[in-house]
Amino acid sequence: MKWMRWMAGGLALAVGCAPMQAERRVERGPVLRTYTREVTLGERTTAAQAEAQWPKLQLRFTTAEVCRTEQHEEYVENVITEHYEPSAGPAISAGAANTAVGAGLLLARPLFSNEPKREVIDPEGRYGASPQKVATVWGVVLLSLGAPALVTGIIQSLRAGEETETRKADAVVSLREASCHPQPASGTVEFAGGPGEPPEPRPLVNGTLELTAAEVRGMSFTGVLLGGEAAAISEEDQELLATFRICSRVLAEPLEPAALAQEEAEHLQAMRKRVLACRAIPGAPVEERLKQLEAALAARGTNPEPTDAPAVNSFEEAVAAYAPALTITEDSAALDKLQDPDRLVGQPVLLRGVLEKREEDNIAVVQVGGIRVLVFVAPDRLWAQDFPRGSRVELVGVVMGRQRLGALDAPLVRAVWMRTAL
Amino acid sequence: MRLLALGSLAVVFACYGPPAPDAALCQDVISRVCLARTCPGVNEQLALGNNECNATLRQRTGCGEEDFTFTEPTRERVLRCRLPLIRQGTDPGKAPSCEDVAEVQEDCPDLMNFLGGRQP
Repeated sequence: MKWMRWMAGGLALAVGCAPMQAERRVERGPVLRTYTREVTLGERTTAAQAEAQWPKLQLRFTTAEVCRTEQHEEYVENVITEHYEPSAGPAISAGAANTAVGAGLLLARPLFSNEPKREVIDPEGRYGASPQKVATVWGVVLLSLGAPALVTGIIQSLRAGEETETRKADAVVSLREASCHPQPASGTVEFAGGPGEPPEPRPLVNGTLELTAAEVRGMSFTGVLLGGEAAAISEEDQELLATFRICSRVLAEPLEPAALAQEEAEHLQAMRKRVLACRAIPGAPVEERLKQLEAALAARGTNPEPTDAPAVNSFEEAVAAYAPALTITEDSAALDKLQDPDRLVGQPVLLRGVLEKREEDNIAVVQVGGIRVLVFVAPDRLWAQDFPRGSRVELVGVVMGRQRLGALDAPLVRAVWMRTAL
Repeated sequence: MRLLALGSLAVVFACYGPPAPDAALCQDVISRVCLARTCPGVNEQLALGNNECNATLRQRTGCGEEDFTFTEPTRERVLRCRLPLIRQGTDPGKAPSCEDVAEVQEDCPDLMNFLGGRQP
């Protein structure tokens, strides 16, 4: 019986060392903590902030690093390895059946007759085997087949199971990049954009560039560069710059009562609006000019236009707020009505044409079919960008009447919103 | 496949018992020859006439006795000559074909003479 023990041991060892199939999956567990980490990306940005106090405009330049703020989540991660052997089940069932039948036959041997089968003699002259002998042989065969299969199946079943490894994991759940560690900048400021030669570069003093209204009046630029790199300016500051530039001209224009008395009412209204816009700059000498303009308007029997015109922030809002009564395009029937603009005074219109040129900052000439239209563009508006010459534009505006500009005598439309048309 | 191979082995080892005595073997041969009595030449060669086959041949050969043993032909010769008679199967009631019986008549005249009561 010793050899049987050795065989069983060897079988168990062989089965125990046999590789099993494994399946690994990762499950996320509870969050342990969340934390924020700031990573400096090594890039630097330049920004400029505008401050106006009439008659001075200050641009404060700062350089800052770009920091990435990462929000992390630290959580428990379970790595579950599932060991299994698909043949274990069939091995157990087949092994158990064979073992049971084999063992049953061996145990029931005494119940079978030991008498050989005398009615049959084989070619060798022997009787047939006795039922007990047949049962014994089959019992041994089935048992020798079933027992190893059963043992193999049981060992494989015992080895099957889940193995869970718990570890700590970290994941970035959100990223945000922003300027950080700002420092006053130094160097020379260059000016870019705008028509003609750019203004001379100016050195920074304590990170600040200070310009007077008189200096700004003679300058034309749309952006600033520091060390060859464009400085970022917020939309509000860009608007403040534009307003300051306009006001530096508007508030410098001489207002002669005699000259004002000769001006048309519409022009006076437009001038008044431009002066009103300068109230946004602290310390700007607006009130005296307003009084003069309103007096001139009163002398003409015209009331100043209310300033509470609808505020619009897009072309669509302008269309909705002003509800244009006419849509004037090169092939529209309404185009002929522009021949007599005095009849359309105060009427909102939607105009589509080609931008021929800009006169000053605030007047554009738009060609609609065979008619040229003067368009008053408030330069302090964000949409009052530099539309390229020859570009198709569409605008919502209010007809102001007829205006003479140099040799051109054309209808005047005050634009509420203008944009490039497709 | 493994089960089939081991099963065949088991049948091989399990399908035989002790050697049958000469008397039983002789009676088996007689019963098979008698089942083929109607085959051409058998009745004449065994000189049976109208007698009952089994009883006549047992009496003639002495196979009816429990202590019968083969002398001439020997047990081994009888076993070899019996092979065509059990070609259709070893079941006791299975009659051999006439071709198999003719083969025995041709190849084993000593057995036919023994069954016919003639000296070899």
